[in-house]
Amino acid sequence: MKKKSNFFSSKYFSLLIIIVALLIIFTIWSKGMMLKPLNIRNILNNVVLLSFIGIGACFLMLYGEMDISSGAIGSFSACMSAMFAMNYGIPDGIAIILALLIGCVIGFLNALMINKLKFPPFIATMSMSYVLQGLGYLLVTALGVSIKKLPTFNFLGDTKFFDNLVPMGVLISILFLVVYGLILAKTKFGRTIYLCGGNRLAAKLCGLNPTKLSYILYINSAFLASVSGIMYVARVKTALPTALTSYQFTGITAAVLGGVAFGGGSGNILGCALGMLVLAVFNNGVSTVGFNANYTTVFNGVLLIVGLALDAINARRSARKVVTSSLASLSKEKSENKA
Amino acid sequence: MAQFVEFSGIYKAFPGVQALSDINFRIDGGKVTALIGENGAGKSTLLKVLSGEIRPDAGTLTINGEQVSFNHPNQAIKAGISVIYQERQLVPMMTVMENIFIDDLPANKFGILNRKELKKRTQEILDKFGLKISPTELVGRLSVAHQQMVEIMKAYRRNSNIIAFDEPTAPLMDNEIDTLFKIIEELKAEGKIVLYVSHRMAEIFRITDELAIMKDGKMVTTRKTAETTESELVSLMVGRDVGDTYKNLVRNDNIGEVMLDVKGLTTEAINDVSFQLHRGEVLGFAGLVGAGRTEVMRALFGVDKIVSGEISLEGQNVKFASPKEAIEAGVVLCPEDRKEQGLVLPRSISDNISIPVLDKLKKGLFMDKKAEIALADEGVARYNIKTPTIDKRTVELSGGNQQKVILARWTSAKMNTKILILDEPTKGIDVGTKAEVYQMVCDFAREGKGVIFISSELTEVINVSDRIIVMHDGHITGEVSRAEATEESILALAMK
Repeated sequence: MKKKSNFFSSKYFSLLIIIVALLIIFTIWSKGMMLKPLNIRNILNNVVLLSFIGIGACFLMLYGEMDISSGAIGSFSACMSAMFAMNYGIPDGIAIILALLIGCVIGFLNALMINKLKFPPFIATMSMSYVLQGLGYLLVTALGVSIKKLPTFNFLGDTKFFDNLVPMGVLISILFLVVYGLILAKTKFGRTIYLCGGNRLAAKLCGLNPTKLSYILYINSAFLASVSGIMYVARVKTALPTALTSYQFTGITAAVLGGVAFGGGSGNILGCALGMLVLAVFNNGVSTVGFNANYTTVFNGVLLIVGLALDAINARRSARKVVTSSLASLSKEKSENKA
Repeated sequence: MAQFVEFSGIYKAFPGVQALSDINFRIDGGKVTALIGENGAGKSTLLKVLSGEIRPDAGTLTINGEQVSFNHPNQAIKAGISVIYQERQLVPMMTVMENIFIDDLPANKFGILNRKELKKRTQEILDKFGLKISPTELVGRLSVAHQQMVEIMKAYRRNSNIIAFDEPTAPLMDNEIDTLFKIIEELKAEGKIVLYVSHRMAEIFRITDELAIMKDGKMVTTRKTAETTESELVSLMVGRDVGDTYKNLVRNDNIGEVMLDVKGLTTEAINDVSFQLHRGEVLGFAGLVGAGRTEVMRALFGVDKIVSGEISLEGQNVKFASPKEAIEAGVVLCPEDRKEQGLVLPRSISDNISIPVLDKLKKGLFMDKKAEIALADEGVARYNIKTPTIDKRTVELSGGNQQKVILARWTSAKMNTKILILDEPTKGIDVGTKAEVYQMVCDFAREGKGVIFISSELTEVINVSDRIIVMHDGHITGEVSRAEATEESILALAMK
């Protein structure tokens, strides 16, 4: 008797309800402003920037670690790509590829600090974040680099579909979510992340290689952060050293809201994507109804706390379930033995 | 005033095992009382009840006639109880004096530390113990023996009236043991209650006055040390009914050629270990906890680094650099600690069974869900794993069913297992499931696998294995066949 999990009782459904409820509340509150096409596009654009960093954060959290430097990596890659194209005259397609490669190298350095030097991930990536932010200011100053007449950037940033409602970025973002979602749910690699995140030592004793996985995941996180950075430049047309500062925390918040457990082992991309939507709708709504942007930060913090609290309550509830079920099976076995 | 501690009617159960049942036991001051028993007899659990780390399910603890109940180790410390464990509870980067006075540092009313006073009071204790250590030395720089002395001085400074030692001499040299015993004698002379847990017979006879023998979570009996003998104690420790469980085992009586030949295996933890394992044989490894049995297997399995020695598998020289290589060659390990090393607890039964064979369960880029379900269903059916679905998370299973999931993993149809290493496979498992596991062990042998069976329970290791290797202190001290083996002979080799 296999118990099929019911969509309507799942956390995805609750997240959808939350998104719809937020949309309704803010639409009424903002007297319809919330649902204007331009605003919808704004919401989508914000999800796009968040989505790439969010996927990286989700994968690392499933493995039980996190990357505090992804916001800084994204900003740094943004600056690099713009600088290569504008200041050095490199064709912008190549500049983008170079910036993505630089991102991957930074991710490799993170993994090296964590696996070879045994730094705690938090400290290693935080240090990296400082280094990159400082370098960004040194290279492009606080004013950043503005881009003009770059075909690839324009293609990525300005192409729009469906009556100008859906920007190119949204399609790229959906593509990434689907591909990464499939990798996680269907491939051996995805399974390996869950297993190593659930119990690294046991996974190793079963012949898996958690260290190799760690390298892949940090490089992947940095790669995705760089994609966010490039998409930022493509849309905003200016690369700032602070472009994506603190996006890593938004990414982590989205993953937590979407049901990825801290410490690894459970959660998925669908949950994360819905978590991102909750955040994007919420943040947009808060500013649409006229709160000052600082409130958004406060509310994000509150949302993270709520997400973590739900995580903790869930953990406690399932721990209780474990004790009761193991006691129950014990007494059942005993009675069977007697019989 | 004669002091005493009394346990009455103490019960404690952990999932799958009754760790303590109806313990009634009195310890008097001015004497040294030994607590002895096999591994798993319940000694450590009883010590943890005393130290407030574990709350008993039922029963009472009284000190000098007054009932006490601890929710936290701090309360036990306040009540004058100190338990000195093998793993020391010291802060290595702080000084001797800071460690000794860690919870009572002398300070003025502004909270500023009075170092002079601290040093003076530490020196007094050091003199009393006759130790030549500087109060300002960092504890991390002291020898293991001296670190232990610091722990004892901490207990002494707390004015603890009840001091329990858990295997205190394991890390000590002979002259250091003499110093320790002198201190214990002094504690005894001051009328303190001293509890001494040890496996070493010679020491027990040298230092203790009374003996309490535990077995299977029960207090068997007590003896006066002067009125008993070593052989009487051993038979009290091991003597138990060997039921029909073992007689009914369907064994393999067709033992074949040598499959695994280990010569002079040496690592940081083991020294010059040599043995052979035959096809279809169950080879037992007996010894006390820490004798090096697990370490031999870790080296074999490619986890620990091998310093020297040769391993040959079916006539071919092998040296595994990682568990992955060992598994590919057909050598698998069911680790001692199921929860920490065996299972990925938050994942399902199915996920846990398929881990080592994920490569063989692919269909193109993606996992072949059907093949995976079939593999898990087969394992659940074969090992009689009690679960409503293969999607149940392993954390929700009982100890016995968890162990069966691990066995199903290593013997699934997709595996090519030649040698199966089982490290304490029946630990924390109820009696009924134990019998099932024994038959599984014999079945593996009947299928022509070589089985290494590590167990600290003498009865089971003797009755399930065809041959038993005994280890002590990182090397092999003897080998006996099932026909010759007695619990006494193995215990004698294990305590050598």
